[in-house]
Amino acid sequence: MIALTDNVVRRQEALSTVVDGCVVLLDSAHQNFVGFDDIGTYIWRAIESPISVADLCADLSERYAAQRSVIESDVMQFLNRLLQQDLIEVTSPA
Amino acid sequence: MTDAKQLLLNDHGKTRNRRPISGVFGPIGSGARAAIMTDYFLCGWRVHSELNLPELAPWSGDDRQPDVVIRLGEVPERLDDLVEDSPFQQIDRRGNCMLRIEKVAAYLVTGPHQVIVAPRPGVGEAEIRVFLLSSVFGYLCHLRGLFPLHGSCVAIGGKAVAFCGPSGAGKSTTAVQLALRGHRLLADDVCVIDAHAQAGPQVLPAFPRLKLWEDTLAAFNISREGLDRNRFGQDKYHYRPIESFLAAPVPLGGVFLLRRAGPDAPEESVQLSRPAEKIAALSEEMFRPREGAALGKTPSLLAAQGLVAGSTPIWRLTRRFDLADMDRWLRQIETLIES
Repeated sequence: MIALTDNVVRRQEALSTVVDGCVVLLDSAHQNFVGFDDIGTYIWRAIESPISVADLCADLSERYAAQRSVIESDVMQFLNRLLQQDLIEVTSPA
Repeated sequence: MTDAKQLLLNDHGKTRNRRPISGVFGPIGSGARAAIMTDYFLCGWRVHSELNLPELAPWSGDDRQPDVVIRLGEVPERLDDLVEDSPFQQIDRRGNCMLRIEKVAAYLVTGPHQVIVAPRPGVGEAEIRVFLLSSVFGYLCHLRGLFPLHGSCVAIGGKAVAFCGPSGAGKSTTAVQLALRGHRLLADDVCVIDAHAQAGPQVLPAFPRLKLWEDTLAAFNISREGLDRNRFGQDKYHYRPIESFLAAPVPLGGVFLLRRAGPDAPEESVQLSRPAEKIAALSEEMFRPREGAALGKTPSLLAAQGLVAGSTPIWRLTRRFDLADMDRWLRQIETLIES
């Protein structure tokens, strides 16, 4: 599981393209395509370089009017799915 | 509707008069080679060929150097440093592609500009061209950074419309029907897209040939007399409506995924809306995806799919494949594209 204090970064080798403003990722291990909505697309761009999950959630709560707890829960779910698909790297602070 | 007979009967004379090749069954000297060279049009490339390629339109463009040269020569048994290795195909890390078809020929593509063909003794020219105009053409498309779709293509009202789908879905039949309705043929089998063109994705017309089954020819009253069989013993014929061919690039205006309606598949016309669904559909219909990947083109092919998906409507069209009922869904296609 990912913690709020963890740093996340997208895998540089993950291939993606943009259609109608939204990112579509090639999940090459499964020969499958993963499409993101606006928020997923925003997160995918935000994790181009390493960022802590807490900072990411703070950034999102400034952009979207939602409770912090809801944002954290949604972001965690999203990032865990990307981790399962091996599309991001997660590092815990020492 | 265009007069079918007229369109159908004017296809041969032009391509038949070419001199027969003398070099296939033995070595040819450089003098003979110069004499039989003819230039052709393929996707806007000037193709210089030692093999007769009657399927292709003659080159009528500028006097540029050839973009692709097709030579007869020797092809090695093995390439080195392979990224793809199967009994019939080898691709190496530098982008050389070799195809070996038993009893037909070995083909070596040494990059985007040159193809070397080594015919097997006794093989017919038409048989050699079957693989030249499919697999080898696929290598060239990928080597040139283009996005090839497996399907036919016609121009409807200034827009190129591609027809993809599984074998038997009616890709060629739809194209010939639309050609008979006065639309220009751009490609059969391989629809080559320049996705990165400044003005948006463009279809680069390939060649004016349709591969039609005997029953389709019969249904349209096309005589198979004088038509080449696709392969020896096969009831599929090459039909060349050269008068109906358009050589200039045409902006891509739509992609249809053709399906046959049946007990489990009701008739429907659905426009794909989700980005991932569009990308997946384009990926599935790509021509020779494995070869594109082996040539290291996966990133640029995905970018091309993104450009196409972002600019082009994609429909899944499931219809009863009934020749008597064809007018109805052909009109439906025309309406969707012209609206």
